[in-house]
Amino acid sequence: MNDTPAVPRYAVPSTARAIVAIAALTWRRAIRGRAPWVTGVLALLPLLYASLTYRYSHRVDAMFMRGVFGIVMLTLTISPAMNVASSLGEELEERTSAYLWSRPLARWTIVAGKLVALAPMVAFGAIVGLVLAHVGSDGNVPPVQVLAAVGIAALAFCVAAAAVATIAPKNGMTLAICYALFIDLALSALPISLRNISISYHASSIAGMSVNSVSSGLIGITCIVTVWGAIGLWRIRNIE
Amino acid sequence: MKPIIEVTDCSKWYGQVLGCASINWKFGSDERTRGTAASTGNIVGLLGPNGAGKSTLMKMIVGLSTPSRGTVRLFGEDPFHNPAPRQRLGYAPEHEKTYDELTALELVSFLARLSGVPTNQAIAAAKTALDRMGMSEHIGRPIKGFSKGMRQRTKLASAIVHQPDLLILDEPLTGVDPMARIDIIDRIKRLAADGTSVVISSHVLYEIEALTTDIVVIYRGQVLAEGNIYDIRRLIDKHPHRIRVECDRPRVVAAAAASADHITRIAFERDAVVLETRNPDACYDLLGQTIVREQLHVTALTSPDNNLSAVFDYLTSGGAA
Amino acid sequence: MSAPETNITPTAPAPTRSTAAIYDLGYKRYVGNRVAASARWRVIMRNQLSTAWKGWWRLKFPLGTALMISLVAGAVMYVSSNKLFNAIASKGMGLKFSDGIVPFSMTFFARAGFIFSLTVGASVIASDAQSGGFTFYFARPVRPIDYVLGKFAGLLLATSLIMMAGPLFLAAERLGLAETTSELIDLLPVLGKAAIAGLAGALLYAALPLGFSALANKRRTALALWAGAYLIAGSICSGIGLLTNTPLGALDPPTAITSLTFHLFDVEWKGRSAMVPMPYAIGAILMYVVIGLGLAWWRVNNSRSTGVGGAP
Repeated sequence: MNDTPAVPRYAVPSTARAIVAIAALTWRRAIRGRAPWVTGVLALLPLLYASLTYRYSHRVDAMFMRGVFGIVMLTLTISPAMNVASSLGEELEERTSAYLWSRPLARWTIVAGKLVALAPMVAFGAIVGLVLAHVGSDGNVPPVQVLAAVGIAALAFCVAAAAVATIAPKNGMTLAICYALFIDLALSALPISLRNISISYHASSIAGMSVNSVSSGLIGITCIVTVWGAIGLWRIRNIE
Repeated sequence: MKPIIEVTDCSKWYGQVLGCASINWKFGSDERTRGTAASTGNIVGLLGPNGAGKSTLMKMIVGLSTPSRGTVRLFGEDPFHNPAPRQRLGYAPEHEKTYDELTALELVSFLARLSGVPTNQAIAAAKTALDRMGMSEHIGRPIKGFSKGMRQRTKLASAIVHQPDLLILDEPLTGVDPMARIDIIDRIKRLAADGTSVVISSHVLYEIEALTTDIVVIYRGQVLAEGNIYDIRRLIDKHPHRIRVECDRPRVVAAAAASADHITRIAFERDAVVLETRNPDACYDLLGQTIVREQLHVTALTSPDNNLSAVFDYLTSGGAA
Repeated sequence: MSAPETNITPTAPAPTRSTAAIYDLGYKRYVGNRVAASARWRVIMRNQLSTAWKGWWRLKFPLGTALMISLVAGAVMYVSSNKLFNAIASKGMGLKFSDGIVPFSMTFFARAGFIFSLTVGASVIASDAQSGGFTFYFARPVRPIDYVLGKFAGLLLATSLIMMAGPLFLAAERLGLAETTSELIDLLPVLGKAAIAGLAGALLYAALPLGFSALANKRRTALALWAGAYLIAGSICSGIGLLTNTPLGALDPPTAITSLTFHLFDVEWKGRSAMVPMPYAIGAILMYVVIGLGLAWWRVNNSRSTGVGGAP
């Protein structure tokens, strides 16, 4: 018998490779389900709102822009919850995570992989929704600043939804919707300093629709994402 | 010699519920190369009723949960906080749920990539693993249409796809029909014969019995006994061993046995006598001498309680000395 | 046909009466009373209620929200009843601020109702479809109508706890704060109005999510469809209604409920959505209840007739 320890046949995969593999799996599962279709339907709803509003008012003013922006933000209370929170929650709740965590990869790669796969899809859906709403009503593409604000907000909501799902996997989707709707959106509408913990409020700053500057919006949203990200990573590190 | 698995004073609580209590257990030796230990001695069966703590112990070994107290080492390292030892591990969890949207080939090749198999080799490795588990005809089918047996085989394929040194199989035969069970048992034996160490759990005694004679009996979160089943049986003093002799003159055997002080009971059955002894070796010597001396025509000589079922019953009923 | 006669000669003495007995402790068919087929929906209702009660996030969370709303609104009502607050408009009549709290609180109870629809209501049938739960129901003598009635009744009871108990508590508090007996008598109808508004809300928030839960085989898809329809389609309807000054806002469930409540309490309100006329509000609520129950029945009946297995 040889006394040298056995060596594994293959090398431990790099973190980047593990994230890409999990993202590929998540993406493949997502496109075989109905989530992209529902995201697509959600992306069309702002168009419905904008075209009906434009038909009756025939005005493209700040109020119209805010209205369409608000409807897109409303879709962001659902889309990240349905895609990210639900996907991660199901993974943890149905214990399919056991297949991943019994492999040589860090626990947080599962969150990163899901975000890499799903957050761009959510952001893309929201941006397309906004573009369609404007093109379909007044015929103009909205300013890049507004599109960037929606994209950044979508990514931030995805991180928050992922963190919520690690806290309560079984009801991750529901709680992520409740958080986005009753806390984040509600706070953004209040004229109090507490609104600084709202992603929606900072998104409107980035879009140039609030009294705050773009940079303060970016800093604010970065802080919120960092806090949610830390919560999510801490939870995923300890979850069993 | 560094063991493959080393569990030291390990306890696990789920709130008020006790999963495992002060388990100490070592398994295997890491100082060997694959293929040189070609025997089924590489298999150990974790045996215990439902809820005994088998899955809890396995999850801690795999790194899916941490012990509330004590330590678990896999290939000498902490498996929960350190991904490296999981590189040499293949795990098939108990639950049936997998990624149902995928085909068997997609699932196994994806898990191969996560285990470090290069992307350009992952498909080939997955096909080989599925073929070894008798799934080559179904590799392109979505898992959601699979029977329980096919799901178990797919899980086993995903566990072996990266050719691990250690396989941990949590109830791999649950819900599998008898023919498939025999086939899967045979394939697990072949993996062990190729040098892979296997830890397999079950609450079905004959499944374990068909695979191995090395067992760890877990009951109410504790290790009740471990080692070779026959050695364990020998250690159970409260329950004398039963030896059934079927022959043409059972009364002659009984008369010879009656004078031996290690015989505790003699009972007659049709054309047979059943002896209960505290010293099986002495009893077998006595029987051999009697059969030769009296020229008996013996048609059967069996030990009805020298099996896993009897050992398990004795241990879990508190009968072990 | 008579049985053939046989003569048996005993060859051995008859056995003496034995005192031994073997008791079969195994399975015995149940021979007691059974619930009548027409009452089996009650079993499903009780099951629905008990499963909703399990865990913190299903019924207890929205119920806690409703309780908080009741307590906060109750405290505000108590403070405002000491004449520190001025009257607000009520069709030209003077109305104390505290009188407006009961109808105004309905906008918040509607939110609690929506949370309950997210945690339980909008996933009831989809969850059964996903887990193969239909098999457990329809392998027994349960009709689709029993299933739908049972689920609806269970949801209705739970939603009533959220949407009816709070307004009734506030109405009772308002009566308790009456300064004179004649004021108390004058205010008595408030109890009935709160009950009607709460019941309408409970009906809507039980039936419509149940209908949406029948639209998908996966829990998360059903939830997303319901949330999308409620939040976005509803907002679009109320926004367009406000813009065009038409009763289109009645198609927004919370607008329909709050409009009905404000009409019942004779209070004018203009928030993010305009009030819609009472007949439209009642019509929309009834329409949604019928649509919700109809969708649920259609889906369940369809599933039963095409096989009772789980998710396809």
